[in-house]
Amino acid sequence: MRVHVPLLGLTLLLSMVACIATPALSGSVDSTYVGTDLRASTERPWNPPAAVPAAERWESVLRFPGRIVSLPLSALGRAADLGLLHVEQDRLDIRVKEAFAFQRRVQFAVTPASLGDRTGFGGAVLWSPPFTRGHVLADVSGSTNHYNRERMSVTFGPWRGNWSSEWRARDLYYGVGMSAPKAGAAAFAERLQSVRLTVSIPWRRLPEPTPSGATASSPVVIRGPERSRANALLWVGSREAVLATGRDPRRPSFDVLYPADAANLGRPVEHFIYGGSLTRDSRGGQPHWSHGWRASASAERFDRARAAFAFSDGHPDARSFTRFNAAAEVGASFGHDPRSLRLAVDATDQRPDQGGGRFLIADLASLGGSAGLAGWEPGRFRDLDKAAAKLSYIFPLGLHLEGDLHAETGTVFPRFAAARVTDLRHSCGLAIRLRDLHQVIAMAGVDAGPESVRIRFSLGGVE
Amino acid sequence: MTRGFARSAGRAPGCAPVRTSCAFAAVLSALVVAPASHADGAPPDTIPMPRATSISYYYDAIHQSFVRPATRALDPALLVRKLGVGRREAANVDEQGRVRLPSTWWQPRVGYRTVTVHDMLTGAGPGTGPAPGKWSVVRAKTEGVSKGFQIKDANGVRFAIKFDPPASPELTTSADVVVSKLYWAAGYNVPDNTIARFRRDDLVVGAGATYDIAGKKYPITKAFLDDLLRDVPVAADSAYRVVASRFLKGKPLGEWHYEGRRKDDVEDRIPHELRREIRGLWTINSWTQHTDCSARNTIDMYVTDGGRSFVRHHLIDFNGCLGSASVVSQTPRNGHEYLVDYGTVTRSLGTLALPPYRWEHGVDPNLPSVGYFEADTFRPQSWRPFIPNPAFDARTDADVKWGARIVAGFTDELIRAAVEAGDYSDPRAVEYLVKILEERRDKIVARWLGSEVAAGNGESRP
Repeated sequence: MRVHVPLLGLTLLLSMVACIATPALSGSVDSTYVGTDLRASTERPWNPPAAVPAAERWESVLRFPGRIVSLPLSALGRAADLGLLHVEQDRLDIRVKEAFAFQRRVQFAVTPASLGDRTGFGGAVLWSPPFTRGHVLADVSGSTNHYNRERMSVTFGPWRGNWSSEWRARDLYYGVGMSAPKAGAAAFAERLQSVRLTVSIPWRRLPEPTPSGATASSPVVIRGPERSRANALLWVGSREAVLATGRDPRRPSFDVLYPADAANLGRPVEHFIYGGSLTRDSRGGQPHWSHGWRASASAERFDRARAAFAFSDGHPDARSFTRFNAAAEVGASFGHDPRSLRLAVDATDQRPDQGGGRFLIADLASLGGSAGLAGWEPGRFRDLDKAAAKLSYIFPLGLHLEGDLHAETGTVFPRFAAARVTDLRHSCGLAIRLRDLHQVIAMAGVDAGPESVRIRFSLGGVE
Repeated sequence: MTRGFARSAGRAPGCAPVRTSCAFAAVLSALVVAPASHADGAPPDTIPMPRATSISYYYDAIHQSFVRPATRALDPALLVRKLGVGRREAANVDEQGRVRLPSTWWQPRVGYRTVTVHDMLTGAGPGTGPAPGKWSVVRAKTEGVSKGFQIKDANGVRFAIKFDPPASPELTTSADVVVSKLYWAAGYNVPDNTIARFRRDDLVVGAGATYDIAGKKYPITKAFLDDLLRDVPVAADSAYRVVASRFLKGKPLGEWHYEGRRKDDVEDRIPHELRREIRGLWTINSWTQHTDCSARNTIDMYVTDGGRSFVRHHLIDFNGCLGSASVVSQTPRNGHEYLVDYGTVTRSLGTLALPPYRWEHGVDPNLPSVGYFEADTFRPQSWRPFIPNPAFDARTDADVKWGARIVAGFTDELIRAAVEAGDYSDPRAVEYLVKILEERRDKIVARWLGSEVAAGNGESRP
């Protein structure tokens, strides 16, 4: 349909002028305030002779195009209104709560998956058979980028045995070292299978910080009990890793760009693993942890496979090594609604044994994404060792919103003596987190490094 | 004019595009020029009962917090108004800015007529609570933010009974009673709320009494009542303290909205956001810290009174007022920010929240039955409810001053009497609440009325 624009414009203009000139009300009837009756009136109420339009006519004219454009949204809103009304009238929300209660009774849950960066949208199913009284837990996770993981654990007192199998379809590899070029991005896949027996000391878990002192004065800043939590772990187990060609359709497989690192392609590599860790955690505060510190140190030996514990016969070319890790974070805050500064440092030192054998790509320390330097692609830098630090400022944005402004720096290197300050790369970002008094419910943010700007989001979360 | 234009457009010969555009323009003109629904003639004395409706509380919260702010941000008409046209004034006022009477929404009381303490405490009447004797439980509320049930007292009068949250005895029940008295005195239609006490032995299960779970009805049993009472506060003398809210007269029609009209009510011809008594409610709500003032706490009743049947509009559920936020204490933020407050988020992002918020300077009275309620950080000009309210967003200075004049009319005596109706066991709570309500009243008067009127002398006149 062709529209005669000048005529249409003239019409609209005339309409507007006519509308503006029209008095809003006519036939006003004065009211009376004479009288002493305090009871609610039963008389016929005063009303204008005709219903008063919600918008003046010139407003309707101005809004008309927007109304037309937003018709689909209006329809969506109406449908949402009716849908939610149905939910409330039929108490479907109660049924959902009952469904959750049922899940708790049968120890079954469906949750978002946490398979790492660039794994796509994922879900997880957790089940702890009720007859095991919580001693057995199994979970299966999967994501749209074809990652999946299956785990099962059996816990009894201080002892925990767990088995895990994981398929990672398209992790990124750029080569080794800080000078690895961005253009060298390749994808690799990996199947990991491990079994591990862990003993925790003390095995009786101390109570987690709980909301307390919820007086009227502190509905926002509710301090949990100041309780220092110390924990030691010892473990032993076996791990099998199979490196495979990357499944990322947008990137070449790593064996094309890095044939030297593909010596074990498709062949299982096994290690006999044992190690221990110490952790001390005195963090506290709500809605986010705002003061205290946490420190942990671990040592883990990836030794030659023991036939008695091996998943398969073949364990060629496995290089033994020892991994040391130390991490610490400290926080302090100010303000009634806490603004918190946090500093976190993390260092990994891996010492391969002399002799042959290949170091698996996935065993290299990495930076990029959630491993540190969030403004860089996950796995952007890999090497034997790494050091990273993160300074965060957490500040309130509202009752259930907070901002997280952070800056990170870090580097990877073949050995500590070779670490150079000039190799440090930096990243900064801002995230907005939706949270309740106990946990982060969702997060969305942006992180930027010299190479890229990455948008991140997540559902759920643990600090 | 519209018809004439349409006719001449139809006569335009031999030019299809022009004819099309004319027809299009005519339709458009008709859309924008034709007045909204007209109902000629006066409504009859007895109006047909409008259809009962319900709103989705979830959708209302989403709509007011997300959809409407987005719509307002993109509204060209609002922009024009901000740039100079100014906000639209209330449509139901006379030349002196007074609400035109009679009204089924509001009745002139404090600030207009002499209201004694007895008048206020009697309120919607009779102000006596359930009659002594057995309470017959006829229905129970197992869902929602607070527990409760419905009873018929010894005289067969029906009441809604609501409890305090276990951790905060007196917090919500007292607020519900105190504020209902104040709002009746301010002129609004409210239920008759009183503090009542009963013991378990006073309860009997009414014939056919049921409770609902997920849309299914179950019979109320003694065991059910025992279970219901297990988690509610009980006094040393085994008495339960509750708010008894006398059932409103008439047939419930569901909530009224703060925006739009009930179009099948022939007496509801003015969009609610254009009603002075609704827009001016903002000032009174700021005084009482009525942060939970969304449509969910309103109700229309189809009543037969004074020889005619009509719709009367009520405010209900005042347990989100003073220091109470329905089941917990108000937070220091309440009254300063919306639940989702884009202005605060933007400012905080810009400043990294380094400057302290005003509410952070507030001091908690540490009175559990009062909750968090104070006057030091209260700024009459920037008070905000929990969720944005369309009528309040449309308010003008005239509306705010209208409400301020009513607040100014509350004498110290009336305030004390209303607070004492809350039956606080801690005398410090009474003194504190009286002091804070007086201080907030004085701030409102100073801000909006200046020297026009002296607060609390009961003689303010619009």
